[in-house]
Amino acid sequence: MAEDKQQEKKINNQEVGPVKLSRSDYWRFLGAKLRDLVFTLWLMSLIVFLIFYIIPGDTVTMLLGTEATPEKRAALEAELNLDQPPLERYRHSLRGLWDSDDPSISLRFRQPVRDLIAPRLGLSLGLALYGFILIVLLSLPLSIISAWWENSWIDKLTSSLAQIFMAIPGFFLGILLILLFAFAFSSFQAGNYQPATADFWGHLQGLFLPALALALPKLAQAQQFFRAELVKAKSAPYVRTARSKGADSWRVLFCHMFRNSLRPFVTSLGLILAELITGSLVVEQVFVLPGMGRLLFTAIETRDLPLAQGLILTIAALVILLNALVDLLNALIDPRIIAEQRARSKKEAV
Amino acid sequence: MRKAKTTTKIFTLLLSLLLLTTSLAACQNAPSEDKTNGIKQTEQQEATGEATEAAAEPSASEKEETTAEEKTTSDEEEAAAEPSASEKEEATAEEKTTAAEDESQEAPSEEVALSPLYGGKAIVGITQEPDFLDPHLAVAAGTKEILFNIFEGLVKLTPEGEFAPCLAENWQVEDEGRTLRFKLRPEVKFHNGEVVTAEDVKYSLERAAGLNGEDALLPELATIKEVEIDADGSEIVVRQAEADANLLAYLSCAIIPQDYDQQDKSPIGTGPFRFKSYQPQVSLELEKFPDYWQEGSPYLDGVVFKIYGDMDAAYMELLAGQIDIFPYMTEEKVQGLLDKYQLVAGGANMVQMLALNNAREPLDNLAVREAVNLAIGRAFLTEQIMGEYGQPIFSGMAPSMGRFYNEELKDVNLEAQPELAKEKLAEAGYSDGLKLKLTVPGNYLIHVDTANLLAAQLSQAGIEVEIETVDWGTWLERVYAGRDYQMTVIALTYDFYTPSNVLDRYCSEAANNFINFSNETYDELAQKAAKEQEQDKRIQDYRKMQEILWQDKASAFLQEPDNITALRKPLSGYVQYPAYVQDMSRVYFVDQAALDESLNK
Repeated sequence: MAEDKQQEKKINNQEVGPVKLSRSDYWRFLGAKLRDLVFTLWLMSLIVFLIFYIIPGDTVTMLLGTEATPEKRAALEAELNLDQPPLERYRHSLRGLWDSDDPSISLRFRQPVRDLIAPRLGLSLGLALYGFILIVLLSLPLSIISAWWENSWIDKLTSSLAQIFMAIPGFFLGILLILLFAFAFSSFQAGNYQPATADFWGHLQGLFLPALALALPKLAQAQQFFRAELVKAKSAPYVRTARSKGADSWRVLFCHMFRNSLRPFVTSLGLILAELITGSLVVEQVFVLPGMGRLLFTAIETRDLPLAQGLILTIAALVILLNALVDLLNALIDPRIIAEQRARSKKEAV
Repeated sequence: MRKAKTTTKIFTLLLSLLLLTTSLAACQNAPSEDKTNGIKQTEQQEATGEATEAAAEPSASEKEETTAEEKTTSDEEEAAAEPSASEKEEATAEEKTTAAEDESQEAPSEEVALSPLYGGKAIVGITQEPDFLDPHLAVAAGTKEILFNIFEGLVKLTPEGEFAPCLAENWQVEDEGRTLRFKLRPEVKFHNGEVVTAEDVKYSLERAAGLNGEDALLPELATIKEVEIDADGSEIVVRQAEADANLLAYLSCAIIPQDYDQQDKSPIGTGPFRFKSYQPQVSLELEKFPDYWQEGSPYLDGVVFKIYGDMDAAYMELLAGQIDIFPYMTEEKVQGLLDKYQLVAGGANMVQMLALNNAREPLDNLAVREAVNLAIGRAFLTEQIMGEYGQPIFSGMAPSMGRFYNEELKDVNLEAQPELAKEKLAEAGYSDGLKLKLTVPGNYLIHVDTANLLAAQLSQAGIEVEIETVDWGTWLERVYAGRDYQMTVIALTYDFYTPSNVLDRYCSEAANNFINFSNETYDELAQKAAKEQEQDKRIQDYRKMQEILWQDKASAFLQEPDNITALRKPLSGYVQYPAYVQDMSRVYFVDQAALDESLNK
């Protein structure tokens, strides 16, 4: 907190008056993010490769299990093109991700990695987005209500619920939800999943429980966070000023408090969305959804380097891109962020 | 302020209590049934045929929560002269119970439910991803049990553990067992519509045996020297350099169309079902093959194998009615089943063992291995791990191997004898006790549970056990292939239903002799038994080998866990084979309404 204020002061000292930014500032900002993205992904791929190189077991061993004989091993190694040097296989596991003439092939499934990831990506992303929408739709009204009527029974109820849901991890909540809905109400069954193309309404229905299990812990977190921001804003000087100028409660709430509390909230939502993407990988497992989670698990379990590489890079890219998007959004809401970066890079240049 | 906090706390407490009770209530919604009661009920019905009484009072029978259970032990299979007839009787009893239940809802006529119906789609829940759809490449038991429906060989395994004529109508043994002459069944069609020719058979066998200049895909067939087409393509002659009496079993290997290179993507065989689609981690679908050579088979129009990430997820779906057949039930899960399900259980030729590394100190000492064996109470262990669904064993062969199984070793040492074990330890010079490391693959819950029980039992005899849990890949590489361990718990399944497949792995030089067992007499017997043409002598040899494994305490063989399959009641006909096989061609619907419903799923 104190650090934040100090920094704000520092920026305000450097930039006198309102911050003005040119378009090139935005582009430079984006460029920096892109450079970070590429570097992080490359580092990730190297780490994945090294880990796969170090951990015991290989695909042939995993596939053959207790039936392994030298003859079978030889036959299978030839079948899976495992006779190439490791560095060459690493290069191919990267290059093959976009090269459609020589695609990266999963060792476990013997299908192009891209074909395996593409249909699952939609599901995992969709699930994360579904959860995110639930969070935004529910957390905003809930936090406004509980902040406005602070310490009322409804505030206490939501806080208690929030504490419970924050304490339960998403996957366990998923199991509870399955038990509750499948047996107590015998509606919504786990695995009642339909592809979006076949029946969109059924698709949403089938994904409701997983999305809920995914969203609830984060929803609680978001609600508590935004409520705290709003409560803090209630006693802020600008609210007092607004009130003294005769603005009515609704105006104060929506035009002053809401907007000012939004920036930290957007930051936290961005982080939450990134967490939802990784979280959906786990929740998918509980609800038996054909998403990336199970595929990743199998890829690691069977030491399928091309597939694991493709999946991890996809997920990492998504998370990094999302973070960049949040930064950009924040920059649009509050240009001081870019100004700060500009100032920093100028300093470095000097 | 403090007051507010206390109220929040109380709220939290109350709410969590509420949540807990609801979830507990949901768990208990699946009631546990009295198992013994259930069995008695079935027996009564079978004996007196008083199923009509049950029909008159459906609510009463529901209250009693009876689950009709069918426990097909291999002994029973052997004893029954006409197993199909006895199965039918049992099935009839099951069907009557089904009809009784249905009456409470829709009251369909009982006669309709009694006969097998044609059509419908069954959904089978599986937990293992298929490895290769090419039958010669597939190694995982979970894949082979599916491929059994798509592919057939010259001969085919029966539920009784015999090899029946399949693509061959009959065969003769010639040249002191070195040559087998098969008469091919005419006009058998592949799934692509083409007729199976002698060339296809030759191609398939040569591909599997490695006679085509490449590595043998099925090394068991490597004794084959030559495959020859005879009598204008109506006969096939298989020649070996040395007679191997197990060859007939190996010739159950799949016959595939010549030079078709898409087997792994879109397999083509001659079986009762043909391949429809495969989506990794989602499902594998089969459809009825209308031109199947065996008239009137199969009953079902289609089978969907739905692939689940774990047992619990699949079990949930079974309870929710999303899957019809679940072949991987555990003793615990059986307790939670409602009476809408029928259970089929039996040995599937699996051997669970506490493997002892015979080449590692101190287990290279026979007295120590004896002590370990004496310290284990197999009766208790089996009861704890598998309930009534396991049979204690003392040597390397499971009872479901039928006549090759040495019955004299059936209950030689059921109870733990810690005092005797201590004496043996003292004899070996470890009177102060001993410390051993037990490495266990953590992905198999049953082995982890077994390891914990064993550790407790061994500690009674003064053997301190340190359990090390490793992942499957590490286990395969370090323990199984590297043989770098003291003790491990594992269950072995076998590629082919032959005694040599089970016992040859303990020969001194066997590549998969991961316990490093070595006994000259044993090695000689294995050689002799493989060549032996007289069945009785051959059986004696294999029984003698089992005796040696027990006498030398090659390891501590623990039990044969049953394979337990749960089947939704509108389905019937499922049979447990003494191997990992899901024969869907025998499964049928007994209820028209359920059949129609299955097509809409």
